[in-house]
Amino acid sequence: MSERGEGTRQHSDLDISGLKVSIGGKEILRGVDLRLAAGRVHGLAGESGSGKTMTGLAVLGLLPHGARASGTVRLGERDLLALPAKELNRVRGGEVAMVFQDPTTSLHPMLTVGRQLTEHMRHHLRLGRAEARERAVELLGKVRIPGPAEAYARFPHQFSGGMRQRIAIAIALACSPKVLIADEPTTALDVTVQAGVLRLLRGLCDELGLAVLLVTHDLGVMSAVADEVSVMKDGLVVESGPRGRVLREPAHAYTRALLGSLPDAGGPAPGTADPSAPDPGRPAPRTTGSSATAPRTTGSSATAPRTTGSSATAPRAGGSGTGEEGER
Amino acid sequence: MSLLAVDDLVVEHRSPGRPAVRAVAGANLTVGAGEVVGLVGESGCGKSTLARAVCGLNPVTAGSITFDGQPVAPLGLRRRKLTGIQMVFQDPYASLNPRRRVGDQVADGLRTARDTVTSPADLLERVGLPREFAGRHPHEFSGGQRQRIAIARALAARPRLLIGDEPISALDASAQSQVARLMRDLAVDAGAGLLFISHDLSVVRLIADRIAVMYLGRIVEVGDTAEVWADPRHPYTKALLQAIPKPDGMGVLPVELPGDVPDPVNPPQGCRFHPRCPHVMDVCRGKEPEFGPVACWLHEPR
Repeated sequence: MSERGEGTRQHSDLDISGLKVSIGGKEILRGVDLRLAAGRVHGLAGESGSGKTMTGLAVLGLLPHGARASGTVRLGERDLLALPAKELNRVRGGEVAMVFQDPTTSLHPMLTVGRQLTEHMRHHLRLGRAEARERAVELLGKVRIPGPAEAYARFPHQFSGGMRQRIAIAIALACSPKVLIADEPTTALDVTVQAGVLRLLRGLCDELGLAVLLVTHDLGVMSAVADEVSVMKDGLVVESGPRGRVLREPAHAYTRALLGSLPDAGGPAPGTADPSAPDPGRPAPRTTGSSATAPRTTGSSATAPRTTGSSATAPRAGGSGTGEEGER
Repeated sequence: MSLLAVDDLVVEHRSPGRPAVRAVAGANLTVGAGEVVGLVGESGCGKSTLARAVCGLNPVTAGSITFDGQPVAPLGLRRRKLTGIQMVFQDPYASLNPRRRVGDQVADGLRTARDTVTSPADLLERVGLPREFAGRHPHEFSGGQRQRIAIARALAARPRLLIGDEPISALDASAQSQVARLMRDLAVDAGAGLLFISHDLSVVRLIADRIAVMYLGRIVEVGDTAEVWADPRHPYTKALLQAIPKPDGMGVLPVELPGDVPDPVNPPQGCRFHPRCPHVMDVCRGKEPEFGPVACWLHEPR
């Protein structure tokens, strides 16, 4: 590794502060603050359209065309948002890696798994062909692909969905990144495979001191692996704190509503959210709120001040809650 | 008599230069009218192949599929007589024709049922979309809306059996349980059976009357949803349920099933699950449990 790598190993936390993203004048993120620490998994929850994925993409400068980002994303000494493209390329895939939700689209259909696994290793780590191959086979074994040596020469379409995602995770881990952004990494997987992948993620995080940002809508997954949990709604982090507290004693009404809508909670029917009106733009009237997710008057300030971590956002979140109140 | 009876079904995928893959290896399943059966299992266990075979999309190697007493013939190029089975596919981005208005596509289904009274807009209304959407093209809709259109198209043909092949796995989390419930309600209202295939047990649990658990081409456990959920008997079902993480904030990692899913080209001798089973006995290694409703030597019927 270069001396840059040595330098960042000391404080490899990723620090996101005041991150704002707008696309076509619409504010998608309205000031997100998150801190990832090495060896910790930070879970980011929220329903679709709340800006979870955008947060992940913004870190790597992978935002869609025409998007504007402001704020800072600090990795060690550097601000990733201000980095020139060439520098950023060194960070992407090397120090910060990403696993996407859908392995059918994140893997190249016409290149062998081996080619996709070794390409960036050879570039970032400057490994030789044989070394890269050896490491690739080892990684495939690590993510539990049966017959790693044979799998090396196969193409993505020859694997099932769960296998493909494991390959995508192997690719992300290939360069021993410091920060891993996992965007719904297990949503497309079977529960048994998910259990394995979650254990793998947790294990890697503990072993290698990886800082993981786990974007997921599944609070079960969140509860299993995340150390810290942040809940997002409409481009803002409404609640952030240690897993046990956020999931067991949620301070924010929206978190309570999310938890209450789970089938096991005995609460109202899940998924009253209406997909026919998903407008992430603000100030979109969200029919999503209806019965299950509409927080009781969020502004009932008794709860708001308890929000830890991103307390600055609480009043605004309260504001949006009142908006919904009016709508109903 | 049940609406659909799958009896000892074997489906093989053959490709040149490779050994035949026995995707479904002797599966038995029934679906009654007005009944919702959830078929769950890991990816690659043959759920989709079973569903496609039921529709006639995959040729059957052995065994039989009877729908309403009639054998299901493979789907060919000729006009199909059997329109009582309709399918909703996994990916609504691929299953709708991007160049045709959704109303026209729903009308295809109506034509199949020789229905001249209903308009496509009526069906869109039934799946919870505004009537005027009939004039739009698929790209104007979100995933959840597209899947609703695909459901409307399948329902237009007045099926007596609706098959959903992972109809919710391509959707956003917030749309998943909604679309699943919609499918259930519409099928039950129409008195049709529903075979709902999914790898997501928590959603299947919400909508299915019965659950069938599939492992490596065979159905290993069938039972009432509530019973299977509360008291799973097959070790594989237990493992599946234990793998679901609970949102209790305790940070408990879900239990991992040891070992890998064996290659279906070369399934293990005896019980297919024995290499990964925590309760493996001698009999499991030698003999395949060929009985139901729980295909496990621990639960052999007397």
